[in-house]
This record gives sequence, C-alpha cells and structure tokens, in this order.
Amino acid sequence: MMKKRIVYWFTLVAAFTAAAPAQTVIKVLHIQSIQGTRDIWRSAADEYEKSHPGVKVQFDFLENEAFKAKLSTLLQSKDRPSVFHSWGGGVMKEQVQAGVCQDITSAIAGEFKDSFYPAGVQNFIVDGKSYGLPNDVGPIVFWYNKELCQKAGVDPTKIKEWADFLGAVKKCKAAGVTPIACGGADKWPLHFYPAMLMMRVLGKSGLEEVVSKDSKTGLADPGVLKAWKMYKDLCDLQPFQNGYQTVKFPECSGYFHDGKAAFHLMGSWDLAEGRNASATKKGLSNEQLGWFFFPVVKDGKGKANDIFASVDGWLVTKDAPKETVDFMKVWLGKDTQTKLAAAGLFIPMVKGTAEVIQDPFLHVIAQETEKTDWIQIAMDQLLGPDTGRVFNDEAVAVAAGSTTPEQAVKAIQDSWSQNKM
Amino acid sequence: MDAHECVATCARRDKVKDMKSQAGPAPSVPSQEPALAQKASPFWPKFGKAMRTGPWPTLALFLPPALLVFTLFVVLPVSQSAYYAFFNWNGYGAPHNWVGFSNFERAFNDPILRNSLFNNLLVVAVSAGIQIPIALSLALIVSDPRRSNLVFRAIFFIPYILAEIVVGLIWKYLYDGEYGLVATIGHWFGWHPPFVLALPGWAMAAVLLVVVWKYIGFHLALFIAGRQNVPNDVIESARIDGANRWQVTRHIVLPMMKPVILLSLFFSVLGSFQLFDLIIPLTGGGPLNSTHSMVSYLYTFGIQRMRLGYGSAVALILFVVCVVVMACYKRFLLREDRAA
Repeated sequence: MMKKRIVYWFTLVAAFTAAAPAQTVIKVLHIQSIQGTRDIWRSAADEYEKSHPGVKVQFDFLENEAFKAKLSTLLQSKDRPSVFHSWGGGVMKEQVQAGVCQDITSAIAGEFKDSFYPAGVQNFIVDGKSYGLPNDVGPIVFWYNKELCQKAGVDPTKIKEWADFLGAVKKCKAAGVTPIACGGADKWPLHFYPAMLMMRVLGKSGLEEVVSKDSKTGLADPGVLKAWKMYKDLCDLQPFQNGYQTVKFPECSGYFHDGKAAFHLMGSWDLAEGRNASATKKGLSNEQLGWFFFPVVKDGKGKANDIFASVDGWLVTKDAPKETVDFMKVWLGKDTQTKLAAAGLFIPMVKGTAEVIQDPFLHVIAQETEKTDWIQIAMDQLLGPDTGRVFNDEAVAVAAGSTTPEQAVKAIQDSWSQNKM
Repeated sequence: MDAHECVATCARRDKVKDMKSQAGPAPSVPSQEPALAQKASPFWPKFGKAMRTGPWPTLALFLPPALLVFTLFVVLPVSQSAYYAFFNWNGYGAPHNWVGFSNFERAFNDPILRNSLFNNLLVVAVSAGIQIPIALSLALIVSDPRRSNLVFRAIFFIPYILAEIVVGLIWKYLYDGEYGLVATIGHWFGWHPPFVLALPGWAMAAVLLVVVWKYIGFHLALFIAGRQNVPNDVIESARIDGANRWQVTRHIVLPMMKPVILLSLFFSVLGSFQLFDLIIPLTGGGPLNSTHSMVSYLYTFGIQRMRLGYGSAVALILFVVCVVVMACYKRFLLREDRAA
C-alpha cells in the first residue's frame, strides 16, 4: 500500500517535471504493442538522440480502441503529439480539414519520399499535399488449407476468377467441408468481400471516380451494385462456418488454423495471429498452407495484383518540432525498416526491405506489394468512420439475407451523401 | 433540465417524507419563511438565530457542493449535448454545420433505435415478470438465517459480484455452438446445438437470460432484508389466529414487503437504462443490431462513428425517456405506496 503511494507520487512528480522540458521533445503516439518493434524503434531514437543533442524522442503507447477514442480530443489539446498513428482515408481527411496536421510535402520531397513504395505514400496525401508517411502494409489475400481443399477436390491454384471461387465453394459444400472461415461479429472481415469485388469490377480509376466529390452517381454506381450482387451470389451458397456472426477475428483466425475451414480471406498478419490463436499454438504449418490473390471478375477493370490492404502510417501534427521529419528519416529510413523486416515484425513500405523477410509467404506477398501500383485501403477507413461502418453493417445484413444488394447500396449511398468529404 | 432538477428535488423531499412516515405519523414540516417575513423588525438577531437553528445551516453546508457537482456533471453536459444535437459534428473543431432537427428525424426514423428502446422495455418487463417473482420466492425460502441458507444466499449472490464484462465473456463462451461448454457436452451425445447468439430472434432472449441470472442475487439480497424487517410478532399472531403458511405469506409478509418490491422494480428500470457493459462483450449489439440497448446504440452509432451531433440527439432522447419514466414511477407507484 505504502509502496503504491510512493510510486504514485513519484509518477505525479515525474509527470510534472516531464511537462516542462528544457529541450525539444518529439512525441510519437503509437499503438504498437509488440515489444520487438518497440525495441528497434527505441534504438533508432537513441541513435538519433546521440547525434542530435538537445532533442529527445518520446514514444507514447495507447491501446487501439483507447487510441481511437482519445485521439480527437488529444489532437486539439496542447499536449498533442508530434507524430501519431494513422490509417489514412476519411479519418485523416477530417483531421486535415480540422487543421491539426502539418503539410510536409516539401520537407520529405526527393530521396526520402522516393524510398517508400509510391502506393503507400499516396495513402497519406490529401488534395495533392503530403501530411504523413506509410509505416507498414498488411495485404489481404485468400489463405487456404491444402488438406481440406484436396478432400473437397478443389485445386486452389486454378482459382483465377470469381466464378472459379464460387465453384470451389460448391465443391467444398458437397464434400462436407466448411468452405470459408469468417469473423462476422467484427463485421470488417465480411466487408472485405464486397469491397474487393468493387475493386475488381471498377478498377482503380473507377473506384476513385465513385468516391470522388464530383461523382454523379456516387456509390450508387451500377458497378458497385454489380459487385454487391456478386457478393450476394457467394452468400447464397451459405459458405461461412456455422455461427460466423458471433465469431470475432482472433477466434476465427484460430478456427481456420485449427484446420476447420478451407479458406480464410484475411491480411498477412493472419499467419502469426492465427497460429497463436489456434488450439495447438502452432496452427497450420507452411506445408499445409497456401494463399492466392482475391480472384478477378470476368469483364472487370481490376487486376489480380491490385492490392487491398490495411495500411498503417504516421501523420505529423501542426507545431511539431522542426526536427520531426529529420528524425523520421532515421526512424522510417531503410536501415531501421530493414531490421524490422528481418525480424519478421511486419511488412515495411520501404523499397528493398522485401528481400530480407524470412517467412516464405510474407516474402512473396511483400514482393508483390512492392510491384503493385494500386494499394486500396479498407472501406471503413476510406469512407470515414460513419459511412465505413454503414458499409460493414450492410455487408453483414446481405450475408444474413436480411437485405438485398440494392437496398445495401442505397443505404451506403444515403450515408455517403450526408458525410461526403 | 428543469424537469430533471424538479425530479431530483422532489426525490429528495419525498425521501425525507418516506423516512418520516416510516418512523411514525409524519408531522407537517414547519415552514420557516413566513415567520421570517412577518417579524422582520429586529432583523439581524433573528437572522442569526435562524442561521443557527433553522434548516439554513444544513442548507448552507450541504447545498453548494451538491449544486456545484450537479451543475458541473449533469446540467452542463446535458445542455451541451442539447446544443450539439443540432449539428453534424465529428468532434474536430467547434461545431459549425447546423442541421436543424435532422439528427432527431434520423433517430426517430431508425428502426434500430426503436428496437433498442423496445429491448430496454423488454428488460424491464422480464425483470418484473420473471426475475422479481423468482427472487422473491427464493428470498422467502432462504430468509431464515440457518447455515444452509447462508450457503444458498452466497451461491445466488455470486453472479452479482462478477463484473459485467466478465459475465458477458463467460456467457458468450457458454453459448458458443462450436467451442462452448453446452456445445462440447452436446457433441458427446451427437447433438449440435444452435448458435444462439447468431439468431436475431434468440439472441435477445439469450441476453435476457443472462440479465435475469446476473441480477437475481441483487434483488434477492433486497428481499431478504425486506423479509427480515417484517416483525415476527405480527406473523405469530396471525398464526395463532389460524392462518396457514400461504395465508401468512399472501396477507402479511407480501403486503409488508411492498416498499422493497417497489424499490426492486425501480432498480430494474434503472438497470435497464444503464445496460451496456454486459451487451458489448456478449453480442456487441449484434446479430444485425438486434440486441442493442439504448446506451449501447448511443455508443455504437454516436461515439464509434464519430457522429457526435447525432449521438447527442440520441442522448437527449434517452434523457427525456428517463425523465418521463421516473416521473411516471413516482407519480403512480410511489404515491400508491404513500397512500397505503
């Protein structure tokens, strides 16, 4: 008890003394809970501090949900961080419009900017100006269980078009194999399907067109409806495991790695998460597992290697110390990112880091990501927190058969026209 | 705001009255103000005396802090959200996009919100119709302070001690049709139980079952205390007059426990409007948004979606609903109690 109290006072005093720094402090607000990543970041910061006396780098951690809840208040307070985690998209636009972000276009121009994958840099540009830089990417692909596919008589390497995939699902059903594992309770794992079908139907310019300010049809575009109808075709086959609406992503990931379903549409992070969440803690071995890109659509404008991904990055706030971008050159530079990639912590978005990734799956996925010219972020980021969640809700409703694709598209467009940025 | 203040002050006044009426015949509270006004000639000595003896010292001591806290944490937020409710606002900068009543319009037209309100009423109904009768019967059975009864009381009370989040997670696991406890036992006998939480019709029933299970201990504790307040001599004299066990319960014990039963009902209503931390881990409001309570709706559709204007409108509606319900409760249930 006494000890607790001493710690309490000590922290309080420490907090006050820290609030009155005599030197420049670069504050980084992040959501990274993995210790390995933090250690590498810290050593990069130590290195920078050594070569730049008078500058201190401070990493502040907030848990994912707490981060989302506190961010808007924090950014408008005096204690705003210098750099903070961002998923880009609509939320970033709101922050830029609120004037809490800093235009760093000229500060990063040239060699530094060119060291990143162009598609990644693109995600942190609003109206032609850069407000931040990418950190890592988690491309979403179809993972498959080789044994179950074989049992169902499916050759996953032959799945190229959406119709092939529907055929594979039917074969699984006929063979008594659960075709797809899906964490429906989280909603976003379901939203991948209509969102990626939209990518495949509309292509890059088509999708950019329907979400642009001046689009006449908006999201009520026939191409969008076509994608939702194709999603409905899948849902009509009852492809997901029983009770998928109650299952959240981590459980579902474990379920797939327990060898209970043939396919799982999920990000590259599923490999680590799924194995960790499986009953054996080992999950499916590299030999039992395979992956392919989301199938293309017949007559669609999208390509097979147009990547749908979760992109993490950093935004710089206004009034951040002028050393901030300078520090980012070390912290997000190739040396540090190579260490992170080699440790298998994530897929960085810096050119030339893909080679050092050890895991055979992630290695290939990273190389494909480096090659692609379009990385699309998730709809709940692109469309902003409100319309994005409407999109997710409608994806669940169509899967459950409680609404039609037409109604779903209308509901999304109604919300979009209210919130359009 | 006015209504709320009135409810609060009324509640305080009534509480005083209730306590008095329990103690014995209520004396009429002497009013100090007319006396002061009539004989005001030597003002200061009188004033000083009044400050020392009347209700004033109590008021001067207790009212300012209460008023301050009440203003700061109730009046201010309520008036703020009444202001925000007319904007389309995402929390960045000051609200500037005035949208009139469209937030309210959207709320009233939202079937999910209506369903959430219905769910709240369902909780009250199930509590009154199932939970309270069960708790009452159990209380009458285990109210004698025998050792075995103490054990039973503890067993019934344990669910109430558990945190809502924990209960939500435990029951989510119990209900799971793949890895759940019921499912695992079912699988031994070749039975595949349904995924209760995945079926829109059943999910709410499943939530209600958890609510009944969780809070029954709380009502039980209230009822045990209420039962022990019923004087034994009254029961004994009834026995001597030839009343059987059922008649004693029906005509002596239950009528004397009525204030506790009403209190219990009050807590059910209150609990229903606060229902949130059980729902989020258990169903997250799903499937298809069929198990939201008003508060979890407000959180999901207002805060999570960063539509703070809309959330404020919903909060205001919730506030009005609460005030109306509390006013009705006081007017119909408590008045009857006092008359009796």
